[in-house]
Amino acid sequence: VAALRFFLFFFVPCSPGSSYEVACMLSATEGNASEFERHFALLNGFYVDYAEELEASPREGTLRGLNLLCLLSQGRIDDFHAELERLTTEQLQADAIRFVVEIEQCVVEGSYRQVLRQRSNPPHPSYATFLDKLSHTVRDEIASCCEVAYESLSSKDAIELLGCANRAEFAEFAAARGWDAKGDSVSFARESTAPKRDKIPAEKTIKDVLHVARALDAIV
Amino acid sequence: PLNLHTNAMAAEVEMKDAPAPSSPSKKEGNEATAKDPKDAIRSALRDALALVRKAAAAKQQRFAVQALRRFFVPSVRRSEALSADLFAELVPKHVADPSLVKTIMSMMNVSSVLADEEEKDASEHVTPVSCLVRLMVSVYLLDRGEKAKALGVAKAAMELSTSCYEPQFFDITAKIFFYYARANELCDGLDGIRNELFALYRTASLHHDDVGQATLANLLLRSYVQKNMYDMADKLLSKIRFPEGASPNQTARYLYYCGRIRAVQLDYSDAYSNLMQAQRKAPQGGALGFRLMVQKVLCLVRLLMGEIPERHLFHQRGMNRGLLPYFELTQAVRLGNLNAFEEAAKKFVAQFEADGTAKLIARLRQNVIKTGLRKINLAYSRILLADVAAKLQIDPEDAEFVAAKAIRDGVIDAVIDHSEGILRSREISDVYTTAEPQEVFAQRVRFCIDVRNDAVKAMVYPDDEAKVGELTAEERLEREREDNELAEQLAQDDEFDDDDLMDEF
Repeated sequence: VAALRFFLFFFVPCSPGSSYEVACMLSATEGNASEFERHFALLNGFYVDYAEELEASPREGTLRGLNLLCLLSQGRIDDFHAELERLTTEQLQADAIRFVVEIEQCVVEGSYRQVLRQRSNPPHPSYATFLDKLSHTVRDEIASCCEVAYESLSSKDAIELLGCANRAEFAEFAAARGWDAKGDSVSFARESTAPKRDKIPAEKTIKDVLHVARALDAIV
Repeated sequence: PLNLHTNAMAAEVEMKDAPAPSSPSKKEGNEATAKDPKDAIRSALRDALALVRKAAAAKQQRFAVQALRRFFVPSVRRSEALSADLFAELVPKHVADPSLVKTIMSMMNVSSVLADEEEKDASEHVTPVSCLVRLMVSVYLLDRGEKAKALGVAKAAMELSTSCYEPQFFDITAKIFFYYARANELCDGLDGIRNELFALYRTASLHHDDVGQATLANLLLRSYVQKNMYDMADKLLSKIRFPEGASPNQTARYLYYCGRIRAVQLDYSDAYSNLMQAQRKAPQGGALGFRLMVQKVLCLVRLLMGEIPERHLFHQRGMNRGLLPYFELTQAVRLGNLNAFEEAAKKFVAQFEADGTAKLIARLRQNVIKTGLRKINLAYSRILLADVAAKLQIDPEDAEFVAAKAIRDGVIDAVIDHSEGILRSREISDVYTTAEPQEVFAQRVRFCIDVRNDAVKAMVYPDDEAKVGELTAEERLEREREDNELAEQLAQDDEFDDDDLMDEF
């Protein structure tokens, strides 16, 4: 990070916006989301309100993409979409933004493999930290999907699916999620989905019937 | 008695100045038929002005509404007989500012005829009448595509409206706000006047001007939605209180904007109810542009909720062509065919951009996959994941994850066998063994009870039944006449305001 900092200072700020851009990239690289958002809010002011006076920054696309990625990695999907709506069609063509939009599509569809593949190909080095965060989120998603979709998995397969580096990491992960990792396979605790025949939902039924009776009574 | 007297006076004054006789039956030959429509228009315009004076004198709001109807009904506003020279007769008399008169005359390419002092309308109610005349001129120019000229006149109308901003004229001033904003929108967009609109909204709230508030709220929302500033629009929604007594047209617009904002925020059920209400409030016969737009967004919201809109919705009268792109999209989603979906999206991309729905459509991709998965799950009890990938046209590596995610989200009820690479459907249990039928039944009963209670609350007893005997003969006549007019107006309601809603969104 220190090296990156040094490198970044070579961007000679030629306009007030540029210094905010540098600040944004810095906080992104450090993974400090709240700081990044603060800087970006100010930077956005420059992009939007002074669009006429200042010349367009070549890095605007990259930074907007970074903002979208930050929102996505925090799971703020509605804010993500609100920001996306603001962008014009030309802005959407920017590589960085298309990158993030595709990632969002993949996360929503469930094509997690693709997400992890994209991770190795970011449009800018400052994306790396948020992408890491995102991949953690993705891994959690995969895990929760596995819990429901599989009855049991061999450890080897589980490691492959989750993208864990080795058995130790997997064991840690499984323990954290409360899985039953016996030897070579992992089985997922499943609630019995058979309908409970013995219990009648008495209270609920009584409430409903009383409500109807009262209403009928009110009909003169 | 007083009202009738003023009416007669006004009619006399008009008749003195009219170069052509007001009654067509007096004319002879072919000239009569040619002038008939023009006379009808002329008398409509004059009626409008007379009603404004009545409004001023009686200080009642309904006259202003009637005055507006005289002009805005399509048989007058869209009539070919409505021409510059009709305005040439009215403008010099009623518009006090001579330089404005000259400007208007030159805009309409009519030789300027300055009225003599005695012809000029010197009644005490000249200001609101002049407002209405300016409004009519600017609408006339707008309808003929003269945006810049219309903007100039609309500005003049705005300036004057501040001096007659009283309850009996609120309907007129609200219309002036609307057309001022419309002219601005067509010239260089609503951004420039947004602050002005806010200031007007504040004034309207202070004066308890419900009509103005409703109109301005809609204009502000429109200005935000057009520029995709949905977060600002949402903030605005949370701050304003839309007046309950607003006209159905304004309410319809408001609900439409609400629906769009909610859809962008991923709140699809709210968006759905808003848009359905907007459809109901919109005039059933007219306002085609508006209803088409609502139908488009409604269709997308339903798709995003996971439902497939029925076929007959796309074949409504007059909406066929407009809805065609959306129909093809729906087909693709229904079949779960990703290729067809991408093709349809690409084919009609220009239309979607123009409608502002392109981004909503981008979200539909996952719906296509979900529907496809659901169909596969129903059709197969066991299927290889590789085959699933082939059917859905997705990457085979991702098929497993996609299916797992779908299972977790409750889209399908199945289990994956990783070692064999199979998707196995769970046995469909008999739904009657669960508690579901009971819940659905209770829900339906509750709904029926709610409908009944709402109907009871909505019943209104006819008023003044007990007071019939107290009316004198004249008052009863007047009352009957008004009732007839009201019935006519309700029948005409579909046409009124129609054109405002037909414009491009």
